[in-house]
Order: sequence, then C-alpha cells, then structure tokens
Amino acid sequence: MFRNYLKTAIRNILKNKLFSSIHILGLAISVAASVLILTYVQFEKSYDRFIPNSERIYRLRYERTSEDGSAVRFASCAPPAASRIQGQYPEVENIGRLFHYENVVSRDTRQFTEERMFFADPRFLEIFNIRTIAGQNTLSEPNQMMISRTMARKYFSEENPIGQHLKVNGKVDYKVVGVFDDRPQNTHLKIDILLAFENLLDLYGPDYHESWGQTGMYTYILLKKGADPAALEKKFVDLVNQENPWLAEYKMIMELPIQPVRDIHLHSHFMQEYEVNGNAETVHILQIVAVFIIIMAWVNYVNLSTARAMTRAREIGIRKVVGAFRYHLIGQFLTETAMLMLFAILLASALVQLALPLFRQFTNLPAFQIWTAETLHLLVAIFLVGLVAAGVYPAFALSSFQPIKILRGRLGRIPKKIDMRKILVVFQFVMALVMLTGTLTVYRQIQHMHHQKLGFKIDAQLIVKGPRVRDAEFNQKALTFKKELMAISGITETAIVTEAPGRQIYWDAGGIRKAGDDVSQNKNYQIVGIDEDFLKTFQVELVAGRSFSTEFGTEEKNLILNETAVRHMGFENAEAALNQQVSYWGELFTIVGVFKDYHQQSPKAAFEPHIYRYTPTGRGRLLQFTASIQAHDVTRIVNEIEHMYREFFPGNPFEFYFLDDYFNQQYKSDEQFGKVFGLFAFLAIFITSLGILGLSAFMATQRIKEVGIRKVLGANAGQLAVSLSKEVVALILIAFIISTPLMFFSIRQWLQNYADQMSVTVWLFIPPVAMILFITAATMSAHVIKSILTNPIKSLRYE
Amino acid sequence: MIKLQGIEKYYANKFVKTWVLRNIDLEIEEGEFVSIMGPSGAGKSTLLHIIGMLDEASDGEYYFYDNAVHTMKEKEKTKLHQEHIGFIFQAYHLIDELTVYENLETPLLYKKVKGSERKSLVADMLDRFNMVAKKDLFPNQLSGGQQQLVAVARALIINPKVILADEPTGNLNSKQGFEIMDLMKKLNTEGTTIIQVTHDEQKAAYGHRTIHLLDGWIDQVTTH
Repeated sequence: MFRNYLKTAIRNILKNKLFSSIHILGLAISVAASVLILTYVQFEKSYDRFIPNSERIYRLRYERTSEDGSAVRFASCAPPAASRIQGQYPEVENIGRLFHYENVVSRDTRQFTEERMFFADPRFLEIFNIRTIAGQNTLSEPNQMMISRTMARKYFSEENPIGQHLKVNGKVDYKVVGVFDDRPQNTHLKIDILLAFENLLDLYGPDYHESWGQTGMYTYILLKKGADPAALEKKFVDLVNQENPWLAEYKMIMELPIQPVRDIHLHSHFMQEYEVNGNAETVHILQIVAVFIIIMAWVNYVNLSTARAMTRAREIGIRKVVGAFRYHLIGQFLTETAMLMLFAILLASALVQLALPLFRQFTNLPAFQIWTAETLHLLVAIFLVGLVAAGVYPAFALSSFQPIKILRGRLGRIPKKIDMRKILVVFQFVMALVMLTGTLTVYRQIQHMHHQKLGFKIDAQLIVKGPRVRDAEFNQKALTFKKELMAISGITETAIVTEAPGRQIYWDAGGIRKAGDDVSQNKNYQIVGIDEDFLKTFQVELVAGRSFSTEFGTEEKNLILNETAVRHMGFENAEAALNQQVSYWGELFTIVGVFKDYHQQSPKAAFEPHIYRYTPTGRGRLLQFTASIQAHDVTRIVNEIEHMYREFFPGNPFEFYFLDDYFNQQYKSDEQFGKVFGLFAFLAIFITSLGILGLSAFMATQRIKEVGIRKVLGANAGQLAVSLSKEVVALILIAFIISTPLMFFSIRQWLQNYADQMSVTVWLFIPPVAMILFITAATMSAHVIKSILTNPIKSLRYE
Repeated sequence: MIKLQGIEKYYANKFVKTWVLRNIDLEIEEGEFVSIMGPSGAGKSTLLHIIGMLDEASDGEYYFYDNAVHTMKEKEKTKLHQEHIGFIFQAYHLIDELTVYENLETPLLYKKVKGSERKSLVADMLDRFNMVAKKDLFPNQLSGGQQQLVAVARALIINPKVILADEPTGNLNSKQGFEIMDLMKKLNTEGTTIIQVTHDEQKAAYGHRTIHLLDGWIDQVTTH
C-alpha cells in the first residue's frame, strides 16, 4: 500500500515540475532561513545555561532610590555585601565576587591591553565551576593568576605557561598557576584572565571594600536547592538598613535585588553591565518572524495543493470507485506531502550549510554552533508540524470529493474551498506587507538618527586611549604630550577628556544637590572630566556662562552643567544656574557655565544630566587624548602620534580610533536587526511570489475558456488583463487594510525604544504596498499575457 | 439481488426542484444482464450510480442482498461497494501515474489483499486478458480499446458480484466495442451480474432485458 502511495507521489512530483519545484524550493528556502534564525535565537537563549547549577546561580545587584523616585540601578553590587551575607543566611550555599580590571599585560616586549581580566575570589571559582586543564584550580595566594588557553598561546606560544610570570599594569608580577579552557561564547562573563583577589585589596584599600556607597563588585550567589530568591531579597532589606543607618536621614532606599544568571544576557540592562547584553525583544521578534516565514511556505503548500485539486480530482474519483476508503486517500496525500517536505528539509539543510558563512557576514552575528542536537530536533519538529499543518487540510479537502461528480466530468469550479484559499493568500500578503513596512521602519529610524545634529564635531577626530601604565611624572607628561601633539602638522586641536561621546558614561556620581537643598534632594549625575580645550575641540555649544579656561586658575572648584542637568537640579533655566553653588559629596562647587545638550550616546538614548569637571590630566584610569586632524594624510599623522606615544609612555600599547567609527558602533545592533529583518522581508516576498506564480498558472488554465469567450465577444487585451488581475489586486488591498493599523501600532510601540523618534507618515506604508503590487503584476504577467494571446478557437474547441 | 422500491432523485435549490429519477421500482436477479437505455438526461447514469452506491437516492428504498443500503452509513456502503461492485466507464478512468500492473493492483491494495495473493491475482488477470507484455506500460501508451480492457480487468479483479458499466463502448471504434461486449457476455455466462448503460440498441441486445428510461420514469421494459 505504502509503496503504491510512494510511487504515485514520486510520479506526481516529477510530472508537475513547476508546482513541485515551487513547493520544494519555497519550503526549503524558508526552512533554511528559519533554521538559521531559530538557531541564533536558541543561542541567545542558551546564555550561561551550560554552567552546572545555573538554575540556582543569581547575581546580586545594587539599587538606590531617592525620595523623588529617581533611581540608579547597577548590575554590580556594593563591595561589602558578599562578606556580610556569607554564612549568615541558610538559603545561601555560596557567594563569590568578581572585579573587572582592564589593564595592560606584558611579557618581555609583548604587551596588550586585556579587556577580559578580572580579580576573582576563590568562592567565585567554586560557584562557576571553573576547571583548569593544567595547573591548579584555585587562586589561593597573592600574585597568582589563571589564564585561558588562548591567552596561554598568546603570551607563551608553545611553552608551558605554568609557573611562568606575566606583568600586569607594568608593575605587578603574577605567576600563572592554572590554564582553563576558553569560555564558551554564550556566557555573559567572558573571561580571559583571572587574578588573585588579594591583589585587589592592595589596589583599592578598605575604603572601597567597606563602602556601601560604591559599586563595581560583581557578586554571585549560589542558592541552596528549593530556596526562595524573593524571600531572600526581602531579608537583604534589613541587612542594608542595619548597615546603613544614614539612609533614613537621606530619605533614600537601598536595595540588593537578585537576578537569575540565566536571565542576564537577554533581560539585564543596568549600569555597569560587563558587556552590552542582548535584547529579549529583538530575539522575540526574530523568533516570531522565523515561525511566520515557515507558516507562509506552508500556506503556499496548502494553496497550491488545493488549487491543483482539479487535476487530481479524477484520480481521487477513480480510487474511490475501485474501493478506496477516505482514509486511504488521506494517507496517500499525506505521504505525498511528507515526501515533498522531506526533500525540502534535506535541501534546506544543504542550504543552511552553504549559506551560513554568507549569513554571518551579512548579519554580523557571532559564530555560534549551528549543527547541534537542538537543530536536528528543530528540523524534525518542522517536518512533523508541517505535515500536520500543511498536509492535513489538503488531504481532507481533496479526499472529500464525490467521485461521481468528478467522473461525469462536470466538476466545474470547486466551491467553498476557494474562500479558504483567498483567506490564505490575504494572510501571505499581510505578512509580506508587515515585513516590508517593518524593514522600511527600521531603516528610516536609523536614517533619522544618522541625520540628527549630534551637537559636537564627530568627523576627523582621532582619539588615543590614555596610558594605564604610569610613573610618578605622569600628569606632567600628559600635558607635555598634549602640547607636542599640536606640533604635528595636520593636527588643529587637542583636548584631554575622560569620556568622548560614543557610549554611556561610566563615571557616575550620586550625592549631588543644589547648595541649600535638603539631603533628600541628592541625585545622580554623569561626570565628564574635561580641560580648557574641550569646547574648541568638540565644538560643543555654550548656552550660558563660560567654559573652563587657564586664565582663572581656580577651575578645580567650578562646574559646568548641560541643559538636562540644569533641569535635573531644579533651576529655572541656564542663566539662573550660573554662579549658583552645588553640594558635591560635601564640598561646594560653583556653576560657571552651561553646555547645550549633545548626544553622548546615539539618539536612541535620552539626554542624561552631565556635570563637567575640570581635570586637565584626566582622572585615574580615565583619559582620552582627542586630536582634530585634517582628513588627508591620516596615516602619517597616526604614525607620528604613535612614535611620540611610545616615547612618552613606554610599556603601554598604542591604541586609537576615530570618533565617527566609534560613535557609529552604537547603531550596529539596530542595523543588524534591520538587516535580518530585511532579509526576512525579501524572503517573505519571494515566498509570496512563488505562491502567486503557482496560483496564476493555475488560474490561467482554469480561466482559459472564460478568456476565450470574452475574446470572441470582443474584449481587448487591456480589458482581459483587468479582468484577470482584478481579484488579486482586491486581495492585496484587503491585506493592506488589515496590515496598516497593525503596523501603525507596532511601529509606535517599537519607537518607544528611542528617545529621538522619527514621525510615522504614510510613506512608511505606501511604498511596500506599491512594491507588492508591482511584484505581483510582474509575477502574473507571463501567465496573463499567455492566456490573452491564446487563440480562442483552441481553448473553446476542447468543450 | 438488487431491489429498488420507489427510488426518487432530485436536485433542489431555493426556487426549483429538478427531477432526475421518478418512482423507480426495479428488481435484478443474480446472473442477469440488464441494459439501461434512454435519451440524454433520462437519468440512466444516475440510476447506475445509485445502484453502485456512488450516489444516494433522495427517496425510496434500496436493498442489496437484503441489506438496506438507504439506511447505511458511508463507511458501510464503501465496504459493500468494495466487496461486490466493479465499475467500468466510457472514459476508462485509469490512473495515469500508474502502470497497467499497478492499476490492476490498486483495488486489491484497498481491500488489504496480501502481497503474494495480490501478485497471483494480477498475474492471472494479465494472462486472461493477454496483457502480460503490457504490464509495465502507462495508460497513455495504450490504445483506447486496450485501456478499456485494463479497466474491465480492474473491475473484475476483486471478483465482484455485479459489474456496472456506463457506456463502456462509447469511446471505442465498433470493432473494439464489440470485442468488449463479447467479453462482457462471456463474463455474464460465467456468473457475473452485469448492468450496462448504453445508447446503442445493438449493444443493449446483449442483455436479457432492457429498461427504457424517459424523463426519469421507467417507460418500458423489453426482454430479449
């Protein structure tokens, strides 16, 4: 029986090459695209799940809320939290700390800035189960370090790294005691080097480690099985209040929220995140879109199979007459569907393999594993669900035909089924329109952001990272270096700044208020350290007062605010803020000027309150030399700067970037999203076109008699074209009416992510529908023209 | 064997009721060869389809071997049909995608006949109709007469009690037509009941009696 089904199936597939290839190709391409995306989605969702007991690991965070409700929310925690919690709460099995320490690592003459370096306490190593492949598993003594396999190769190539030394920050020698395997991609904690925690105590004294006002200590908790994290969180409220009796006086609330480690990558967007995390919303949208793409291909299948019912009807009739039960026929059609889907999925697998490098290049997605057990499960699921979703309806519809009507040759049109098909076609058009409009929206919004006046000079600005390895004369050297930069021909301005525009400012300070205000008015501000050349170099606009200058001599006690900070602090306007005093951690500062708000971050983010302090040689580790250069001759200028830098700051790697590149990186995730969305839009259109192609081929044959009669009655080509395409145009318009309000609200919703939103106009909606109309017309034209040109005598003689 | 009592058939929409068969009473004994004749639209094919359980009467009673077909469910009817009835059409109606062999095999598959038995039944049939050499050909590689031969073989392969033939020679030239008629006569003498619809007096004369239909009524019955 089954062999009989198979034979008919294969012969049918081979006989109808156009339909079969539309089916298989459409399914294969959409399955391939969906698999690529769903694998990526899977990857994004898999973050940190590989860690043993990850379901019990939580990150302890830190939040402070002022009386007016303004709050700062950190991903890291206050340093004393871990030691106060350890051993005091029955729910807590273990609690460990990690401190991020980006610095220069060197061995002999090889030196690199290592961004993925941390101080780790032994309990952290236990919680995250970091196992070495060589050497020991613990950092039990000071000046010990563990490095990843990649680092081992980088610094020691073929040598055995165990027992050897690396210098950190040009000063401290660490002995390599262990080498661990490279951490997987899917963890929020990307670690290359771990340093003994004792050394952190040398670096930052007890002031830091005992302060509940500080943050920066990543703190992880392993809970006991069955412990209730919410209840534990409540207990921490008492701990915090006990430790910080001053909170009540300042009318502040301090909290230590805990978050599951598995949720960090997609759901955590706080200050001091170790890396910019993924976006759950994007992943969610992609997932939905991927599923819809497959559904569209299935819809094609259903559409074309039922459309072709007429050609299969005779066979169905005969089979029923010679004794087939309905279930026999259902079995046969399901077998056929299964065969097609199997071909499609095999082809899709090949496509995935072929398209993977291109897809990665196009989307800039990280290199994740594609052929995992999950992917195979996914393919099997797609096959089974597809068989049911796309196979069952046609099988039931086709097997329901009454043989006698068919065999007497009076089938005519198949009533009722057509309505279902129209609904499905409308669904496809809606999807295509949604995808196109969505893509257009993402691109327009990016364009919109690109066209915003940023409020500072972004072109031809070279930024040189400040040195980390420093000696006692560093401040003087920095000033001289800056001065000598100006001697290089082609450099027009230079400035030293703690944070050039391009990302969120990490120097964040609370406890700042207008002098005379109650302590409860303390708020958080972002601090930028600048020198007297900042205004000229970045060409920021001055709204009131003056910028810093060397003429006054006492600038250290003066501040400049931006407009947002003026409002944040409660002044009427910029003028009103001038010469007013600010209480900043118990000291009084005077406001001497107000800068116009400029986009520190991409226009996606709202303006934040900035306070500018006068720090002519930077502050601590934060320092960037900015040089406005003439755009030609860039290589020579960079070479000269590098040469000078190496002389001034030996032991430091020379690192530089251009401000526009750096700033534009912020659009990367949006652009990536736009690209992936665009790719899907293209696919959606492609699949819809395939469906239209199949349907119009079918309709052309079905209506060949009608066209013949119309021609005999004297219709011209134009009238015929109208009568043949009227229906499809109507379907597109219905789809447009459905998709427009849907998209209008979705777009409004999506734009909420952006502080600076484009306006939503009809020009987001008209081009997609025009494009769909055009593509549909192009797809149908071949068949329409063919049926118009057919000699009516031929088509009518068949009757 | 077949007993029709007051069979009526009409198609109704909101405004008109179109009658196809009116008050048909008919009994056919096992081993009979009956021809149904009448002008176009007289209801010949509909009657045949009702007897073959491919269509339902609007009214009246139908007994097949004392089974009340008019009260049966679809599944039971299919079962009865599968067991006892073979059909032959004017347009042969072979499955284009299957070879001669596979076309013959299909009814057996639906009857769940075992593989070895199936093989021997098909082989017998091919032998009997001298089609062994053609077993791997597809219908479109055969002449009309040959196709109808395959169709007759396919109807016979389940060893039916009755064969219903709807103008079986309508598409054939006269030589081929008479060959098929001779074959049917032979089958009848071997015990198969045959009911055929025809336009042709000469072909009707192969039967024991002819039912003449006119506008859905039985007009007259002649015996040969």
